[in-house]
Amino acid sequence: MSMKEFWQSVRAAASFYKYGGPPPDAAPIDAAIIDKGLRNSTNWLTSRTMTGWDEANVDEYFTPADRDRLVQAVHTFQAVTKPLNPYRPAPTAEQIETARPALAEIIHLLEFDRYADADAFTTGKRMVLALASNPPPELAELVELRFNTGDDWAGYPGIWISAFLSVTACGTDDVLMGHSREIRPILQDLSEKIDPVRFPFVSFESINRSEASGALEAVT
Amino acid sequence: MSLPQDLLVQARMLATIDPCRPKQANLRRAISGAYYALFHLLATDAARLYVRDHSGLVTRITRTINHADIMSVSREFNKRVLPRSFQHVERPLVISDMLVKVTKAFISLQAERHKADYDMGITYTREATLTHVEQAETAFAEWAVVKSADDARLYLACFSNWDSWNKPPR
Repeated sequence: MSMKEFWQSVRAAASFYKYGGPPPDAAPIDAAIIDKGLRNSTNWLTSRTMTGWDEANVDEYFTPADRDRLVQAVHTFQAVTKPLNPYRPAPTAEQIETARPALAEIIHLLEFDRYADADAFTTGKRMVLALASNPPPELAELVELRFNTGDDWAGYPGIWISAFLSVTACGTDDVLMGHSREIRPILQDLSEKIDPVRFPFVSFESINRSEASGALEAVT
Repeated sequence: MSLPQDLLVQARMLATIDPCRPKQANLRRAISGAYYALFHLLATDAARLYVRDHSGLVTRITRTINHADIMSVSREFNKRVLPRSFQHVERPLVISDMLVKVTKAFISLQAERHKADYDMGITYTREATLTHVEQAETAFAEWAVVKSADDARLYLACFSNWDSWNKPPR
């Protein structure tokens, strides 16, 4: 039972969401996309969607408030799926209506548009939490982080961290480069502390990138 | 200016040359140039460990140093790992934080250069490109500070000698 396995199980259930490209180009996933995706089919309404769930593993990835929301949503979902056959579920309309918002909440909390894979989530989410609990002043202009993992061209494991900065921080070249000079080592050091196996590759983008590139619509 | 410095200046110039929508070709060449600037800086200084004034020989020695050698040595020094022969000495050499930062920049830039030159699925922005160039500029400044220290000189020497120095003790 691991957070990684749980993340992968829910990700498989949310197969309606296509990334549209690796970070930083991943398409945003919002409540409307999740709702539409879950209404298209009920294949997700099975106990297998919660495979890997272990309440004991949740604390290091979520704030107390988000943890409580996740636990509540999982319990609601599991209460619905418990009497159903995991391989051939035949849910009632009422069961679907109860489980859909619960799974939507879980998908929302697992942030598939920010974490491209389970390893990216287990490292990236802990980084985000660590930064939020003790935010360094150098990160004041950092708006968002996105992560994906894989091997670099030489076959070494890496984690790619896309740091999105405020429009103000990207105002002039020198201001932008000053921010990247300050933020990069903080992210690299934290990443190496949390996941020493993967080399951290950090790149910077303006938070306006999504609007500017204009091709980031979710495929549902 | 030296070739590495010229390449670095050119990289920033290419990243900012288009006033409005930047051409992908310019951004990609800027990233590639930033990496090559750092590569040539380190390779030239490695050659100068052996020959200081004979420019012809410096060039010849530089040609014997390849990208993969610097990459693999950088990965070891980034983890503060020395070749086995030097690990169990009475007063172990300490690898400085600043040298580690230079190795990080080299590893990052080589990977980014590879993407910039070969992965056509990526759309680079000017912001991202500039921050890669900035990484090389910072590495140049940091290298200037550390390059005379023993750990930095050993780092350079390892480009050519890692395998023989890393053999298990006899």
